[in-house]
Amino acid sequence: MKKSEGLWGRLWGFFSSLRLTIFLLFILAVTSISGTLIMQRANPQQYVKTYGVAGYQVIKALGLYDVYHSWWFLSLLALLAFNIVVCSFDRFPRSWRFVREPLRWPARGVLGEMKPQERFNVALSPEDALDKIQEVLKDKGYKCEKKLEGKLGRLFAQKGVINRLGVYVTHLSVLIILIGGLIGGIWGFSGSMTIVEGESSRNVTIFGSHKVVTLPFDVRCDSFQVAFYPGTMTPKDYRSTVTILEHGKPVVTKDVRVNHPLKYRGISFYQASYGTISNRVGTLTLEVIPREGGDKPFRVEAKVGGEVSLKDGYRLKVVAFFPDLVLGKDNQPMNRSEDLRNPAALLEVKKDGRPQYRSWVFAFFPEVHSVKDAPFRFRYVSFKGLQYTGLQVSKDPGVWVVWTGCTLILVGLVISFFISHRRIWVLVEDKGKKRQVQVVGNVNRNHAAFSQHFGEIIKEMREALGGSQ
Amino acid sequence: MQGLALYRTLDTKLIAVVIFIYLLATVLYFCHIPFRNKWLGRSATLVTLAGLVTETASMVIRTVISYRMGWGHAPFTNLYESMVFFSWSIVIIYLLIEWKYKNRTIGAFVMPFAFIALAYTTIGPGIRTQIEPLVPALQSNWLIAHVITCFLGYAAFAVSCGVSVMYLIKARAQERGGDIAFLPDLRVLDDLNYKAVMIGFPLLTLGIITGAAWANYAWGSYWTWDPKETWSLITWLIYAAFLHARFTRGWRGKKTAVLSIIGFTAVLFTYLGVNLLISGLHSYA
Ligand code: HEM
Repeated sequence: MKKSEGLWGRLWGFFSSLRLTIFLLFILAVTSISGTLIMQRANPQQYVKTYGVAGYQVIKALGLYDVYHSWWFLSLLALLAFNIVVCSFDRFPRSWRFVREPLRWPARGVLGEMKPQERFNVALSPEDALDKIQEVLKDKGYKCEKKLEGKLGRLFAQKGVINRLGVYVTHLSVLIILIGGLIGGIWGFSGSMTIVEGESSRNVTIFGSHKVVTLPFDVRCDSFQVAFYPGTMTPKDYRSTVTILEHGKPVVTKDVRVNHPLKYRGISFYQASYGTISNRVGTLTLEVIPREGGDKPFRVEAKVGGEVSLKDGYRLKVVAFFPDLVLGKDNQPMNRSEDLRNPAALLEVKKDGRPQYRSWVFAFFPEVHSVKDAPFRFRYVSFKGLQYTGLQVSKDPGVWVVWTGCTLILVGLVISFFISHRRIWVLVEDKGKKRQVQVVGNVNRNHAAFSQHFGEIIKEMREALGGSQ
Repeated sequence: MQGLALYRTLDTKLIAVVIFIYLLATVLYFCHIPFRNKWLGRSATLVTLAGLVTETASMVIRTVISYRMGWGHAPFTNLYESMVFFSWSIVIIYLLIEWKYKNRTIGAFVMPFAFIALAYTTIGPGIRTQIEPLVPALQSNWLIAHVITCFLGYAAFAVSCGVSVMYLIKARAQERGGDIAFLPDLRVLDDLNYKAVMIGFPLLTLGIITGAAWANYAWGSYWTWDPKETWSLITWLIYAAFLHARFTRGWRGKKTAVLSIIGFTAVLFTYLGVNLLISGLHSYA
C-alpha cells in the first residue's frame, strides 16, 4: 500500500497500525474498570452523598455516571471498529493472493534456502516417484499439483490455506457484534412492568430513565406464585401466569418463570421480581371441621369477599380479612398494620342462599370460636395477599446479529489458532545415473509440530518409494 | 443414620485428602527439578493423577448426593464447588501439557495454583461446603456450559501465568550472568506461554458468549455491564492485546510474560475480587 506518502498515507498508516490496536485494547480495558468502581446510572443525590459536590462535578463532566454509554467510551469503540476496517483493507489483498495464487513453482534458489528440507536418491523415474509421493501427501490431506519440465518433475502440495483468512473472520465478527449492539441500542428497549394479580397493563418503564414505552397490546397477570423446596426457605420457582390480550381478547396464556421467558411479537417478558400489594385482599386457606364426628376435616380456599361451597348445600363466604387485627373504639375491629401479625377473618356460612351464622377465625387463637355447636368449625391455615409481578420487558432486534457474530468469532479463532497453512514442494531430478528427490516444507505457525510432521512425511515417502538409499 | 451422615459429607472428606495429595505433588515436582530423577518425576505425575481421580470422584459423589436429596444439579453452583472445579481444570490442562510437551518442570509452577485453590476452600471466608438447592436463576443448562468453558479458560491462563513466572526468574538470573539450568529454555517457556493463551482465549471467548446467551435467556439482555461481565471483558481485552503484541508486533519474552501475569491477575479479580469487593448479579462466581 501507499505507506507514508503524504498526509493521506500517514493517516492510513496510523489507522491501520497495530500500535493503535494495542493502545485501544489497553485503554478500553483500563477505562472499563472505572464503571465497576463508581456506581452507574444512580441519581445525583447518591453521587453527592458518596463523593461530595466536587466529586459529582467531575463524574458529571466525564460521564462517569454511565461510563459504557459515554461519548468517549463509544468513540473508543468506534475507533477500534475503524481500526479493524482500515487494517483489513490494508492486508486482505495480500492474504487473498496467498489463497488464489499460491507460490506453486518457486525458483530453485529460493527453495534451497528454506527449512525444513530433505534430499535423497531414488531408483524410480521422476513421473513414478511423483505419483507415489502424491499418494502419501493425499493420504495426509494435502491438495497436490504436479508438473513435469523435461528432466525435472515438480509437485506442490498444501493444506490449511484457510488459516490465512481466519483473522479476517475473527475481525469481521467483532464488527458484526458491535453492529448488533448498535442495532439493539437504537431500535430496542429494555424496561420493566409491574402488574397486580388480575389486572393488566401495557406500560413499560425504561431502565435508567423515566421514559415509558406503550406496548401495542395488553399484558394481564392472572396469578403469581412462589414455590419453595420442601422444608427450606430456598425458593424453587417464581411463576407468573400471564395472558396477552389483543383488543381486549386473550390470545396467549403462558407461565413466565425464571429462565423460561414468554416471547410475543418480538418482545420478551422475563420473571424479574414480585411483591405484595395488600394483605387485606387475597386468598385465604382454611381447614373445615364438620361437627358430625364421622366426617373428616378438609381444606378450602376462598378469596376475600368471595364464596366457596362446603358440603350438603352449605356455602362459605369470607366477609372480611384483617391482617393485623386490634379492637378500636367501641370494640370495632380494625387493622393496626398491613403485615400478617395477627391475621383474622370474619366468615359467614350460608345454606340455599340464606345466611345461617357468622364466625371469626384467628390465626393465633385457633380455639376461639364465636359460635358453638355450629355445623362447621374453621381453622386458619394460610393467607396469600394480593401480589404483583415484576416483569422485565425487552425488545432487541440486534440480538441475532450478535449471535451470528459470536458464532463467527469462534469459527475464526479456531481457524486461526488450530489450523496452520502447510506447504510442501517436491523436486525430482533425473541426473542420468541417479535421481534425486528434494522435499521442502513451510508452515506459517506452530513450527515445532510441523518439523515433527515433516519428519514423518519424509519417512513415509521413503517407504513408499521403496529402493531408496 | 451414622452411615448416611458420613455419606453425605464424603465428597468434602475426599477433597481434604486431595489437598494433601496436590501439596505432595507440588513438593515432588520441585524435588524433581534439581535431581532430574526419572522415578521422582514419574511419581509426581502419578500422585497428581491420583489426586485428579479422587477429585473427580468427589465431584461425581456430590452430584449423586444432590440427586438423592431431590435437587439434582451438577456441582458448579457455589463458590466452594467452583473452586474445586477450578483446581480440577488446572490439573487437567496441566497434565495435557505435560503429556504433550514431555516437560515436568512446569508442574512445580502450576500445581501450586491447584493446591492453593483447594486449600482456600477450607480457610477462605464465608465458604459453605453444604450442598444447596438451586435458586430459580441458576436452574439452567447454560450454567453448566458457562462454568465449564470459563474455568477451563481460567486454568489455561493459570498455566500461562506459571510459565511466565518461570520465564522471569530464569531471565533475571541470566541477566546477572548466571543461569538456572534446571528451568526450561527461555524460548520453550515463551512458546508455552503463547500456546497456553491460545488455548485459554477461545475458551474465555466461549465462556463469555455462553454467559451472554444465558443472561439473555434468563433476564432479557445479553450484556448489562454488570461488574463481573465487565471484568471478564477486561480480561478478554488484555489477552487480545497480548495476542496482537506477540503475533504481529513481535513482543517476546519478558514483555509478554509480564502481560500474561497481568492477564491472570485480571482473571483472579474477575473470579474472586468482584465478589469480595463489588456486588452484582453473579451471586457466587
Ligand atoms: C477486539 C478486537 C480484536 C480481536 C478480538 C482480535 C483478534 C485477533 C486474533 C485472535 C488474532 C490472531 C492472533 C494470532 O494468530 O496469534 C488477530 C490477529 C491480527 N489482528 Fe486482530 N483482533 C482485534 C482487533 C484488531 C484490530 C483493531 C486490528 C487492526 C490493526 C487487528 C489486526 C490484526 C492483525 C494484523 C493480525 C495478524 C494477522 C496475521 O498476520 O495473521 N486486530 N486478531
